[in-house]
Amino acid sequence: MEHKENKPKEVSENIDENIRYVEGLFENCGDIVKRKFPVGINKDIWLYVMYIDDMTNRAIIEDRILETLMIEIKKTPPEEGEFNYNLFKELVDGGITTADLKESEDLDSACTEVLSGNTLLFIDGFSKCIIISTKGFPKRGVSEAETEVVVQGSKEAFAESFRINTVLIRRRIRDTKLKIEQIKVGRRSKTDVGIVYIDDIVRPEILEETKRRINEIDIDGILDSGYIEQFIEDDYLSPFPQIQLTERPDKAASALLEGRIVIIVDNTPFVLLVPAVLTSFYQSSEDYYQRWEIMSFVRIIRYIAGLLAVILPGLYIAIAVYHPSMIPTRLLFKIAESRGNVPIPAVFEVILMELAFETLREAGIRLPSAIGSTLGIVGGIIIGQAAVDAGLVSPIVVIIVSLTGLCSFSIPNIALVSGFRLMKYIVILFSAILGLFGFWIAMLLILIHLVNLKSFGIPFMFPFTSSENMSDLKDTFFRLPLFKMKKRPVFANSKQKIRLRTDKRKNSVRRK
Amino acid sequence: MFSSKNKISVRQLQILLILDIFGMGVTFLPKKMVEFGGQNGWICVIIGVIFACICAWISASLAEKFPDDDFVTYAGKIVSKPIAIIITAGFVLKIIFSLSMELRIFSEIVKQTILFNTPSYAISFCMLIVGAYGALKGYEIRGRIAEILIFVIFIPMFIIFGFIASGADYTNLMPFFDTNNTEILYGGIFSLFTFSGIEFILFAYPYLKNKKTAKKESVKAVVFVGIIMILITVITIAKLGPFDIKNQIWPVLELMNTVDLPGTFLERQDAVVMSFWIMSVFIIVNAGVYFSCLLTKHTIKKGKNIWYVVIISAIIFSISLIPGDISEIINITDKIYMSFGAIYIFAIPFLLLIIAKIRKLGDSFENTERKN
Repeated sequence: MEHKENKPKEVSENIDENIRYVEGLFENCGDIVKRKFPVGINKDIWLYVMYIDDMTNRAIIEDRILETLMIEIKKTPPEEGEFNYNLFKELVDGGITTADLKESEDLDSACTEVLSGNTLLFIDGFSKCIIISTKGFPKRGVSEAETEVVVQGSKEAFAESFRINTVLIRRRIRDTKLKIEQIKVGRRSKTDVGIVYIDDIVRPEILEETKRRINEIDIDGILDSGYIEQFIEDDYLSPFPQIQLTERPDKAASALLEGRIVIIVDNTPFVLLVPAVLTSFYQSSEDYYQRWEIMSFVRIIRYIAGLLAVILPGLYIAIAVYHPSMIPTRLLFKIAESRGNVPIPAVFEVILMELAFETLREAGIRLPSAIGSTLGIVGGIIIGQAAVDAGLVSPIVVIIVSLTGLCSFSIPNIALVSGFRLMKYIVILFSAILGLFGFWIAMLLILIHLVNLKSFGIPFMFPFTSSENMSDLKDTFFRLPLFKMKKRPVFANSKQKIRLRTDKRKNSVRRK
Repeated sequence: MFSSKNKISVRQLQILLILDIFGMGVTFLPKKMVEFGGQNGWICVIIGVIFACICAWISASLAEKFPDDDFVTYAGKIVSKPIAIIITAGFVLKIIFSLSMELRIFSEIVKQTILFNTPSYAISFCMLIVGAYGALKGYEIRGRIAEILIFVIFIPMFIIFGFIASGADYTNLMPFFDTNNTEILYGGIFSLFTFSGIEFILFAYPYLKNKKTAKKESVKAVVFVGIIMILITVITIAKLGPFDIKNQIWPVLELMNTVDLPGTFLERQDAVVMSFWIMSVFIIVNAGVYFSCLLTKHTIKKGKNIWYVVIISAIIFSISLIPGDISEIINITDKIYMSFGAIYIFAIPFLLLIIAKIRKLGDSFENTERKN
């Protein structure tokens, strides 16, 4: 904080004093390019430029700034009397042929601009400097989304560059109400963080809260949006995500139209969407691009899969160990037969296989995709089969564990799956100790935790809880036809609830 | 936890009432009603429901007069502070005792049906811990939990009772009206006391978002749960017959054992049914711990919430260990319901309302709103 409290160093009229100060700050910074040069017919006005090599667009600096200042400006002879009075303006207007520049009187903020890829220009005799936007660092272009792949819909994904990301959103919502507020977070990293929202749709109290939480972050460096997520989320102890991450611009745009806030962080292709409720994590952008019947079916599958991913191993233990009488006799014989040779108790068998599966998953992520699939085959099929043949585990447990894994992969959001993965072990633990009763105790504990969670004031289990009307349920277990979803969800300002004014039924054949 | 910033909606209040009342009474209502009215026991329940609606209306009318005050405060305004504290203490005792017995009954049933080798105190301890954890989170969270659990509890229950109803022998309900009218009336009054949970209306008002419709909606909730109770009693009598019911300790659970759901995969449905019942008991444990802590805190007005929850849960757990066997538990429960139940469901709200009216205390909600 001391940095912020110091009085800013002002630009001096004496160019050498300014140069001494900035060069002192940038001492031993090998990537800095600086030059002091005279301009004018008599070469008596001294200028000084400073920028960081390769973080800037050199063509702009050389063609638009240096060339005009050093050569072109000589062609405009000064008119006696007025020249000195307007020198600064003359240089700015006649010497720099680019629109994006600003004046500054604060040397420290000017240095921050240099660090962001802009060019600093001092003019002797004036107590202000010019910052010319020359950002142009090497960056990855727009590539395909890797973590949220869809069959139908845009293939674009956010990139690491802040500006590319804002463009990807702006291209989708061409509305002057779309606001992008930029702030710098991180005492040393001074990372650009953009708070993007649609002015009249966003709920003002959520926007204020988001800004407050981001402004309160006082850390040396922000390296990824994950940092911001962890600093601004409501409950840090929860294994469930309360903020949604996405790398898809169409998802971010759709969130904005729902009244949510998008937080873009420089140097990461993942943007944050706040607030986020449980149902947001089950939604994929593709859901809205395809026919509603199939997507509703897929939604139900996802919800069931999500539930199974948490309960299946625990339920198996509860029933197989404590209440085998619940299982139909023939199936019970099958299970008993397959478990006959297994030397370890069912509980440890399940935990062992689950942990093996987790290891396999972790190994698969770190490996290149080509080897990753081989690993899947080796780990899943060969080791699994060998373990069953050797009588170390029973086939039913292999089926249960693989099914649990499969279910967890069908949820479109990795962060939610991570939460479920941990919860699964709590259910296993309770079921192992108290059977079906323990299973329900664990489910109740998870339920209490989930209903207690909030994301920026919105209950995490909304609209299953706290909802005042049924229309909030239209986009949950089912994805009703788009024309049925006339209202924006709970995130939006209550004055801007209506999102759709078309009545599809007017031109429906069913009506005629 | 006890902050009135945690607002609940009228819908949440309704659902909480339904689950609280249902969970308390359902296990032994049919047996008791048959003891009073034989095959006509269901008529007792109808009378009980009518009484229950009146009690709910009285409680809501009383609470409505002091929409922003907690129970201890408004009772203090009506009958002076010391008497209010005595009434509240009685309330807390009633909740603690009946909850302890419920908890013990629950653990005994779980032990009998699904966990044969686990000691019953371990079962009640776990249930109490979860209930207390939920209570610690506050009224709003209780409302949200109930909003989800109502589906988990009632949908499977409707399906199961639907099947039982279709296979029941309704001649068991015959002959109609041959039972002594006084017996039926006594049965009705007793069944009212199993509608324990109605008195929670007295404490809910400061936490309500929309107090205007609360009275009407609370009565509606009581009617809803009353209809379910009537149906369950009718179905139980029809399926098992009045004589069988008298001989069984938990006829409703026995009923579950007779279910044979067509096309189901599972061998034993009672274990599944038990699962939904666990949820239902969770809600009442949660309500009991919450309200006893709430009332104590409002009386003492000091200390951290967690201490109230820990101490009261420990008391409830200790009391639940006292009775030796099931018949003793049932005896104690009967006594609690007949004595405390009568006083707190009907007598106290009624007297407080009359005194408030005579002393012209409190303001109906509409008037308060008009002034604002």
